[in-house]
Amino acid sequence: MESKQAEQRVLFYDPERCTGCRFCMISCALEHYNQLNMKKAYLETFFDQKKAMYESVQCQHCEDPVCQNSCPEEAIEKNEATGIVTINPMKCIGCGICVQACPLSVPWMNEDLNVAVKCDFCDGDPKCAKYCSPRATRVIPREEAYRLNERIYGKGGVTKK
Amino acid sequence: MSDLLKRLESNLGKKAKSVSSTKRRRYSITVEPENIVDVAKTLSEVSGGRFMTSTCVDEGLDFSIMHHFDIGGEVVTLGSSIPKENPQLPSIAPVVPAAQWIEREITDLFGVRFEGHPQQEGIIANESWTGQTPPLQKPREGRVVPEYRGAVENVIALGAVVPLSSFTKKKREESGLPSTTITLEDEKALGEVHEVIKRSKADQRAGFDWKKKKLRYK
Repeated sequence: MESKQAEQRVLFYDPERCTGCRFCMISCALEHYNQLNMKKAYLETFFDQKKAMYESVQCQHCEDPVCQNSCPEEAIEKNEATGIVTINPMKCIGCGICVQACPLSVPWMNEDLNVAVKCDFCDGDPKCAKYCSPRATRVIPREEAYRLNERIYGKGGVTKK
Repeated sequence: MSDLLKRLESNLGKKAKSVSSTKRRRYSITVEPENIVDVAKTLSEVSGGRFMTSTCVDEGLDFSIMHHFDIGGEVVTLGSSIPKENPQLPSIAPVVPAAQWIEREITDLFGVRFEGHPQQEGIIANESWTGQTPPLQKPREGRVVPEYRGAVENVIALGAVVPLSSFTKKKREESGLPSTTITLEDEKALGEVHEVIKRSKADQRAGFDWKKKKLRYK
């Protein structure tokens, strides 16, 4: 991994600390839509019946994003400096391919705007991590996140090149 | 004494007015309103506490604001009391972001103003509610019933229900009774009475203001 990529900051979720309060989802919806509506959040925290633990699905801002490669209109861009992957709503045609291409189904179709939407990392200060008081969701460098995720999910459990 | 209590006492030092354990796995910290931000920062960053929620209780003359933290499965309550005449408290939202909404909710329901809050606006109350008394705020009333308020005020301030009038003194002299001094005239005696009242916390229970020498309600 290049050193620049390793230093880029990503969201990391620790299921052992999570209490399931959903502040992350509420704060995300409030930040982007000014609504206290969890259905409009760009990440999802849910109770995993098999593991009997809370689990969160959030954008990993992949090194080589599948959504970017799948987009026919080049509406999805990855900022090389910060590593943040964003959808340009002016270019998006609402075909929904990225929704299906993403292994985590992070992007979703916004029926009101008729475009796909996804986590934009709140321009470097994610509100989900800021509001998480048990510090289950937090922002750490990518290299550390890989190491910690390997400990939780086992080797190859994370989308990695 | 448990480990957490010792750690809290050493971490907080003189900033906390009192640190105590109320029951098993429950701890209570009382602070002055100006120290609440420092203590909340220590609890969340040094002790690794998780902010759970805040509660506000209307106690007639004061508001009790309590911030609850979870430190390793044990609940630590950080409480502070503010007078109803000027319900202002420094906001802990800049150091504990998760407290933002609950503080806005307390502002909506009780009318407590949080200084330094990044977003001082309502969150749950209807927009048409502005300008009225907040829905959960009760009238500012102490526990002394109206008939006895004057008497209680005099007893605490002067040490007597009514001062001895010159007419009574004259009558006593005429009938040959020895002269008496009342606590109002004797500073030492009045000081003793005040000391007893302060130790028994009767002034706090009655809601007495020592600066104005009056009860805080009429």
